[in-house]
Amino acid sequence: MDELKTNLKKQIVECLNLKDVNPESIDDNAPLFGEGLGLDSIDALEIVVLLQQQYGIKITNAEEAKAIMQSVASIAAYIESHKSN
Amino acid sequence: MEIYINSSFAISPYDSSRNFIGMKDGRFACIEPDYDNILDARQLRRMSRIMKMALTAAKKAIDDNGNINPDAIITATGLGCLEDTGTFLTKISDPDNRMMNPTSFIQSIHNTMAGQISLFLRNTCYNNTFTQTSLSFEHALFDAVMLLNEKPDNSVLLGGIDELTTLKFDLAERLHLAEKRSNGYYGQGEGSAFFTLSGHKSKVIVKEFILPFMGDHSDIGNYIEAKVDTNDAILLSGNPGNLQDPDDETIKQLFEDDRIIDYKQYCGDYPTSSSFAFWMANQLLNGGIGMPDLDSDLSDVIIHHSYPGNSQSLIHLCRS
Amino acid sequence: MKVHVIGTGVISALGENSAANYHALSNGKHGITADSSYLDSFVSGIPVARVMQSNSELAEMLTVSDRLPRTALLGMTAAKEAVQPFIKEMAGARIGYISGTTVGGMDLTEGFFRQEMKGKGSGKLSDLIYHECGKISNLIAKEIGVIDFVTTLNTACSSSANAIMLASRMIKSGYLDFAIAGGTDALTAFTLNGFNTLLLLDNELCRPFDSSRKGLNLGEGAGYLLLASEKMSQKLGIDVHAEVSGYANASDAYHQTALSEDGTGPSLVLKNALEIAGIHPKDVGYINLHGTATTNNDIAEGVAIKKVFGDNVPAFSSTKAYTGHTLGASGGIEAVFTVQSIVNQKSIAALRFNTPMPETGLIPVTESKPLKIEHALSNSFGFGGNCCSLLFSRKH
Repeated sequence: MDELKTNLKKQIVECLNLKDVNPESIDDNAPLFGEGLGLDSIDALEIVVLLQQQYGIKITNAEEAKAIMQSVASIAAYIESHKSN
Repeated sequence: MEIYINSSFAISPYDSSRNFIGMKDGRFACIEPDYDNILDARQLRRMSRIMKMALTAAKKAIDDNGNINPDAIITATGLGCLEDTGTFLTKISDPDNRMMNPTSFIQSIHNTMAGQISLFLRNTCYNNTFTQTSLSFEHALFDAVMLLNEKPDNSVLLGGIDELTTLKFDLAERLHLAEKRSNGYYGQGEGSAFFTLSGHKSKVIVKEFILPFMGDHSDIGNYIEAKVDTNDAILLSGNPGNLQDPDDETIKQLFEDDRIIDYKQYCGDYPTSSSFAFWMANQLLNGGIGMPDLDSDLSDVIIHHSYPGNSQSLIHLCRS
Repeated sequence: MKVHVIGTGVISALGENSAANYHALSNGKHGITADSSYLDSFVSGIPVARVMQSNSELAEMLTVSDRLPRTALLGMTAAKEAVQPFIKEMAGARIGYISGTTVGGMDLTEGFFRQEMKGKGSGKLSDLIYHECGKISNLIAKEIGVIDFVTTLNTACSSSANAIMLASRMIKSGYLDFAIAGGTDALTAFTLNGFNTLLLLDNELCRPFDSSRKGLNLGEGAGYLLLASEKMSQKLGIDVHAEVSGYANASDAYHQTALSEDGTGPSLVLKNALEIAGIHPKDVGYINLHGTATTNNDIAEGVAIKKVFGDNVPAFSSTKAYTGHTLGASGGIEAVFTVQSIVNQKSIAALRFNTPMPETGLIPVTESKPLKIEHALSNSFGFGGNCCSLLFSRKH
């Protein structure tokens, strides 16, 4: 799980071209959007593509995406729970 | 009313300060600034090259006009955001890689530049984007002038932008340009040129422009003969490289050879290249800064943008 | 100088001319009946509003080559309908063709790219020559003939509303006597995939302004108004459908693809279009919404309507529930529908509406019924925050 979170942070920073962010500095539970990392809805859509590409997870609904992408921890939990499917 | 050019900025393949042209094997490339010094990292992270070129030129033109937030933003682009369009097209065409990024779709739309500039300036005013092949910039200029006549107190941000990508270069070479190049065609180009226009007096007036719909093509020659002292004027011709073009020749005959500049040798051939000529004309009339040696009595510049067998336009700028 | 609407032309999933479209609208019959998989086998099960005729059928009707981009074939069909009845009378006048499009010749470009994937060099280069949006306009203008001025706007989904605004300003300023103004867009794999990656497509039929809405359905088509200066329409004694009495364009300046939740841009254009015409909000009888049925659009538009109209919100509906979202053509098509609602003094019924959005509580008109419409608005909003609203007034 920790390894998954570490990888996710690296992938998010790379995918969104967050040059000024050190992946290790991202708190597992900090909100990704608005206040925390300051991402926006286009970033959310890019993360949808990332999750499909790297983890085979398909998200087709915007509301669902919002719920999953609260934080790195919530994304990791979602990936874990959908791994076996 | 008289309409003036209050400021201008161009990112182009031409560096006038050292008379250098960024061109190799028929491919002109803009000499780009270090964007990290101009735009902040968060703004830059998603931006495509055409967007960076547009926003930077727009920002510089506005800065040079006392940072006045314009009353209208009007852009022109013949081919739009080719890099993002190409990326998205390639992905949807590849049955083995169906991972498409939303950003390249969002930024493939022609009004991405005008929209992002309004976002950057927090500008809620009139916002429009023209895309009419080699007349795109002329039509945007036409709209700007019509708007200033409707609202004389306004100021307008006007820009012409096109980008050259490897994909576009290769396809156009395959299509017909490789052959043309052996016959003197300068090559494909790109650029981003932005201007602020208003009724506030400055050194350069947008005196007149003639687009085909305002009369037939002979109007352009007639206008020059009637209204321009060609001894004090420069002709910026849009011939993309000494190609056979009877319309171009007719106009060139009205000027001495040393008063004619084929401007596409500096920026290459692209749909909104007349915006580069508009920038060059403004530079020339402002005292020939960094331009080829010119006499000081230059009073008028005529931009003649013609495409063999296709569209034609004239823009007349003069000293106030 | 007043600007008059003297003709209309439209093709959409509802039918191939203005009368067929209006017949479907009056009978509550929508055209969102195709499955997206015909555009791209990877994106299936999403309803789209496809124009019934194939390229060869359109080309045959027009007697032109069927190798032209679909956007051009659709545009020619609608533009010709608008201009045909007056083509003789218009001779010698200054005529403009002003059009909005977002995809241009993308369908042929896609064909080229798919072919290239099979082997570099195998694509037909001739498929690329109409890629540029402006080339589509040139093709259509040449087909109509007698055109003195051609230009193209691409401001995403507000393109053709902006084209009508520009044409009206050019007539008002005396540059043109007549203008064919509107827009055209064909369905393409490019836009289908694009909206799919944005998670903006509903896999069921779209439900504009309903609390259960989940997204939009894409459509295709073309719609044009034939505009004339008052001087010309009087001189020729032409029947006037309506007057273009107001227009406004503004930027929302909030986000690349979403509108601000307080409806900044939409309320600016509604307010400014009324102001130009000197019309009081209470005198507006009908609003043809942008109404895409995305969560974001409908809230922003609803909030803006409440801001401008207060407690006197006029009858309103979104015809995208019939035609799908036709992108660069939508402003033109919906301008035709708005003019038709004025001519017929009848509302257009909102489809599939059950529960108002909790954010606004607004309830669209759900019946096609006689309605006094002196003035009607048509809204169009596009990516990049580009907003445009057109105001049409009844001619007495």
